Amino acid sequence: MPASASKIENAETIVTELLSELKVIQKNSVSIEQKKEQFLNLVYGFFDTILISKASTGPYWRTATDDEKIRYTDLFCQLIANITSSQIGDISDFEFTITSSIPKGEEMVLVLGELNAPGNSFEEISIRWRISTPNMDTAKIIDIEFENISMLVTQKQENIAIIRKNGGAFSALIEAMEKQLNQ
Amino acid sequence: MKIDFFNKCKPFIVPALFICLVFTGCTSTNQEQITDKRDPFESTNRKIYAFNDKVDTAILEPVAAGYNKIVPKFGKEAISQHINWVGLPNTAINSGLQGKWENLALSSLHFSVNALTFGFANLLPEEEPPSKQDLGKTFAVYGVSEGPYVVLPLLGSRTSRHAFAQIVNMMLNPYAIFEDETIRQANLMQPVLSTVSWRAANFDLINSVKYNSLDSYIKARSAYYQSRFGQLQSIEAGPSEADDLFEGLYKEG
Repeated sequence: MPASASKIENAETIVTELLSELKVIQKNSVSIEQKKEQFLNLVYGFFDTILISKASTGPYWRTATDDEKIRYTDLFCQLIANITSSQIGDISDFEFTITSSIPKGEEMVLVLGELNAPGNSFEEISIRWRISTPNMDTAKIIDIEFENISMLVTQKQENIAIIRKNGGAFSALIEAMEKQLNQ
Repeated sequence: MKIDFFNKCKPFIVPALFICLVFTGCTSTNQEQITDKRDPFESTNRKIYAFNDKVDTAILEPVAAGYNKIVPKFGKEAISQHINWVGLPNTAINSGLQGKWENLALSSLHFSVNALTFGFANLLPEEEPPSKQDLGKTFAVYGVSEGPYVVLPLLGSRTSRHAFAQIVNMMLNPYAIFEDETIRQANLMQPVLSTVSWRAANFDLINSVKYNSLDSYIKARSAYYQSRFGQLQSIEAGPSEADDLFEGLYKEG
């Protein structure tokens, strides 16, 4: 199988596997805290958290200390898990249909499709998954776009705004995230 | 049916003047505080955003929640179809202005056939739906610069090009020229119905921005620009912000 076809297959597989696991979590009757923990495990398992952390902080990643980088990555993953948990609610009957998959350069694949969730406030939503495929065996999610709105771009702009308002201090971003998580 | 165009524009003159005042009253943000060069009036925009947020929390959010709870799925679909149908003359006019003749024909066809149901039912489900066009897109086709980002009271956030286009749209509403009382009442209700329907359809997304953000103003601004880019992609070609972000990332290594 040609390299690009193999990468496309890996990219599509990781998307369908993530959504299958999400459905399983949704169907289990567990507490909200347990759900959040399960979502967190999914984030660590399916997403390239280091690349996402780097991308979402722009030039300020280089100014952060090693401890700040680790702390930020942890907090960011928790935020994703919490947001997913609150947005997805009790929905378990959703279906994602892949419409196309496009290689973007050597190390990335875009997987496009439609998410259907009957009974939800949205009926159908188009989603683009950006998958990092650095080699033939590895595929990790690095971004999700809902109706052209990229999670990573919006997060980066928020992060940079907070850091800039606080004189370039990366620690201010960490404080803001801790405050958000404790709400 | 009497046609009295200029008298129909009168109700919109005061809101248009008010919005112009908002524009001229905007104070530029201190350079050090600018978080995005497209948003030089950020400090004023934030105040208006905070006001809009309060109105949303107090009125629109509970109304939209109630709408989602009470109106059955088929009802919401019918209302959404009606709202789209009402916008078809605007789509047709702007398609013509942009030279999109096929879309002009398609929107005219959909408008005339679905007029039998006032747009509540789509009698042409097999036909490809027309692509929605607005005056903001027409301005983009003619190379009008998008201008700075502005947040308008109650109307929400736009580029100034898009905001100006919306005001002109309001004044040139094709339905405003009719004196028939039924059409006039329906015309007045349209913005309310359209707003509630839109808020209800995007309930979870908007609430996520409101309640799950480090800075909801920034998130809303980012979401607007990316969404608008998607709508204008066929006009203003180029990479998306996400494409730019990842291209830069892989180049850095």
